[in-house]
Amino acid sequence: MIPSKINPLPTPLRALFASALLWFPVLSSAAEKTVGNVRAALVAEDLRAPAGGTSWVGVRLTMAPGWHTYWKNPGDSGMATRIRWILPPTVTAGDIHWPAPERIVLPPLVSFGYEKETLLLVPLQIAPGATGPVKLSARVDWLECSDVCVPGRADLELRLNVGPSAQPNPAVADLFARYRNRLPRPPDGWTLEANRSGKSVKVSLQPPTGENISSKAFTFFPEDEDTAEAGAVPAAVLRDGKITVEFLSETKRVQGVLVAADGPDAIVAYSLDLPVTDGPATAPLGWVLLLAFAGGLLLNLMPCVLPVLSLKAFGFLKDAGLDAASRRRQGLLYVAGVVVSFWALAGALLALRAGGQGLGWGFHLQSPRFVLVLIGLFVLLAANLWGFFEVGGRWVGAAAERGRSWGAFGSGVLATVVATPCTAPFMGTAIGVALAQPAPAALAVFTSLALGMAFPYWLLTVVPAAGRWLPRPGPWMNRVKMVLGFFLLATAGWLLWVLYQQSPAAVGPAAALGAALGVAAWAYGQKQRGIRFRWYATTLAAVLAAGAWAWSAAGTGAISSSENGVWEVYTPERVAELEKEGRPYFIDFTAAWCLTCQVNKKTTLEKPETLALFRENNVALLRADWTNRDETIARALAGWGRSGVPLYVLKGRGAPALLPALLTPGLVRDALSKMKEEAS
Amino acid sequence: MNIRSLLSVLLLLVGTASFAAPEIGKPAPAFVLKDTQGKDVSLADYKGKIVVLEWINHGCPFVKKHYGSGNMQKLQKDYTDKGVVWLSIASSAPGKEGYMKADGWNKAIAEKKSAATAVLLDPDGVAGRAYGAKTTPHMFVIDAEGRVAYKGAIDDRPSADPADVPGAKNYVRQALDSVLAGKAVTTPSTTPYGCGVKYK
Repeated sequence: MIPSKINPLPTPLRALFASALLWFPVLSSAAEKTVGNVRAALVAEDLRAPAGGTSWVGVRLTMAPGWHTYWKNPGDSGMATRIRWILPPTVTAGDIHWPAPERIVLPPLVSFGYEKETLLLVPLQIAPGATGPVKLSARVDWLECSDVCVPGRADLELRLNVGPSAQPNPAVADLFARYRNRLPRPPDGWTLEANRSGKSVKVSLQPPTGENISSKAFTFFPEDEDTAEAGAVPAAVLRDGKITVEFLSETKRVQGVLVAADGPDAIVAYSLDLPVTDGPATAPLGWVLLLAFAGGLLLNLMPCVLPVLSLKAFGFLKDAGLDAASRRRQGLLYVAGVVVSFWALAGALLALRAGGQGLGWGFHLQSPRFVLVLIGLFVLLAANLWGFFEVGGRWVGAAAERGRSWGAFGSGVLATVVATPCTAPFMGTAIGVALAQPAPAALAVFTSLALGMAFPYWLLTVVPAAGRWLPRPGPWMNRVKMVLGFFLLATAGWLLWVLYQQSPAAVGPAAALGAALGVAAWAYGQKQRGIRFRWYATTLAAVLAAGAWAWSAAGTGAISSSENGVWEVYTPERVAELEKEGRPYFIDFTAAWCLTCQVNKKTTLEKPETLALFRENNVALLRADWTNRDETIARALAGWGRSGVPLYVLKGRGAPALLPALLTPGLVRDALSKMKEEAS
Repeated sequence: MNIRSLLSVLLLLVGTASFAAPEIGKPAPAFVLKDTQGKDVSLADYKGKIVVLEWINHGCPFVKKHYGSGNMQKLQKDYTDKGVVWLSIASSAPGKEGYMKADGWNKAIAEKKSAATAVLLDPDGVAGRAYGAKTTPHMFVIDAEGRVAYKGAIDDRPSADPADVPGAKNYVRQALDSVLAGKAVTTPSTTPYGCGVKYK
């Protein structure tokens, strides 16, 4: 910079400018130089740098009071400090490692930089075989500002000894330790989320369990103006054990540094780099309630619920003689049974989530013991359909009415319990939103889901003409009952397979329990018919024994399901790697107990033509198996606004695509070609 | 609190809230400012013309870089010759760096050989805040329909070093050439660099 090139200035600035002339660097070099309001020094961490290794140097900038220099993203104004090296061929300098900056606010402008002092750390790679002292020259350019700005430059020079091993300089150990401590570190073990809500992005960070973050102040520094304008980022706040910050931004990726501070010298900085997902909060509640209702309605058609519902319908046919009032009452009690069960489920889910557990729909199936209970239940239902025994006694009069009422309520509960392994279309979205909402809204969504599920049967009970829509009762009913009984047994068989995934040792005892229950049900039926059966007590004892055996076996350890070689195990790290490579990926969020997932696997995901399509498009296949409880997967699901499986995510270069809950090869093909279009 | 101070607090709040750059393709915010001759100048006066807004502060080393090297004046001359209106806006508050009264500005215009159509005085920072002007220089190009066609830096070399002027890619020149040719601006938005605007 040649001073004579600069034209004279108007009077008030002339004095300032004249003094600025004095600050221009003299063109000689030293390890330390004071220019204007900044002292710049080149400091080596080692007295002797290791040949073939890394040695760190730092550019130490000490600012006069009231002055600051800038971070790599200077914010609304300013300029990042720049270092240009002149080095011997045996030494290569890396990028600047920037310590966490401070917010410098001059309303309405916000800048990011350093007041008082900073040390910009640079790793030097020393070639193997290098010897003797080497000369390091650095030209450092910075902008120093108070309420005015002055550019500064210093040419600094340092001789660094090189030897076979490193010998640190104890005199600067504290300095390097202090600033290395301020370098952003990867947020290992943290759960990071960035969700879009309208025009803003909400970033939330949850520390690893057990880490206390209660007493700190938090600041987010965006890496560049694409992530956020400096003035648009408010202070981050701590809420529900999570650090959150929300700012206006159109970015698809959040990059920057989060600084947690207990004081000016007690800070921890984390480097953040995560994609922004479309948040669940954007859907209006009314729409979600509608989705939930539709999901509940469709749940009736799922293989786990259909047989139970038919059972109910048969009962209805049998009771065709009942008066309208009694029928309506039964209908309402059935609805009540379903709604109350859904509330119980919602309550448990919300309570557990408040306790910090990542759970979703079907969460109880992650417990092998619950699966065991379901197996028993399905066996008994099948036995009932096959006419092994009757439910309820031969009550008369008021007792019969009471019995029917409890029966109606109970069948509502039963229908809900057996429905839980199934997910209907729309349900995933609705429940995902529900669990992200405050409790009243979440309860509303669950209620809507329950009402949707109870709706068809309720309709039968209130429409007087409903009887005419249904076929007349007759012997055909028994044949249908046989078939439906097989359905239920098949479901029990499938649950046995689920149990195998979770706790292989429990499968034998569980099968024994099923058999014993079948025999016991038959024996009970004999007793109901007044036929004497000598081994009645023995069968009951067998049920109890098998039950106890299975119960304890189900408590033992789980195996992880073995997978097809094409599929990699999902980890957030792998996703980050793929993002960095720019390679597209597909995530199959699945679980053995998720029937819809298994169907999709058979019809689509494991089909050779689908796999070939993925291969053609160089799509990495990741499988997130949620058969057993897994916090990482639960959090990943939450990141996509879901709380249950299945979920299918296809991400290319453009926005991620969420595929529907019921897959077809055609759907996958379309999604892939759309992804290709976006990339080109 | 009397009505006047209440009003000024409200105005301050409104002013702070509205500090945001206008979006590309959206109408450029209107303003009326005094020029160095004491005349009111309104953006609406130049309807149908292409307008450049340049935030200026002669105390700022980044502004010095472009005026000291003659880069800014050449840009002003090249395009005012083609009928473009060039308005330099000074949003420095009284007592802050870069603030001058009208006669000081007239002297500076002559000394620097500024070829701007006018220098507008914005000591209250009203226009600066309306445009979200962050730095000096911070550049805006407004097309003949009054829409924002470019906002951001003057070029791609964020430094105060005049030696960086010759090799730089000048975004304002690119934007003006495109707008004059009736084409879309390829880089309509960049991150401005420079000193912070010295607002009140």
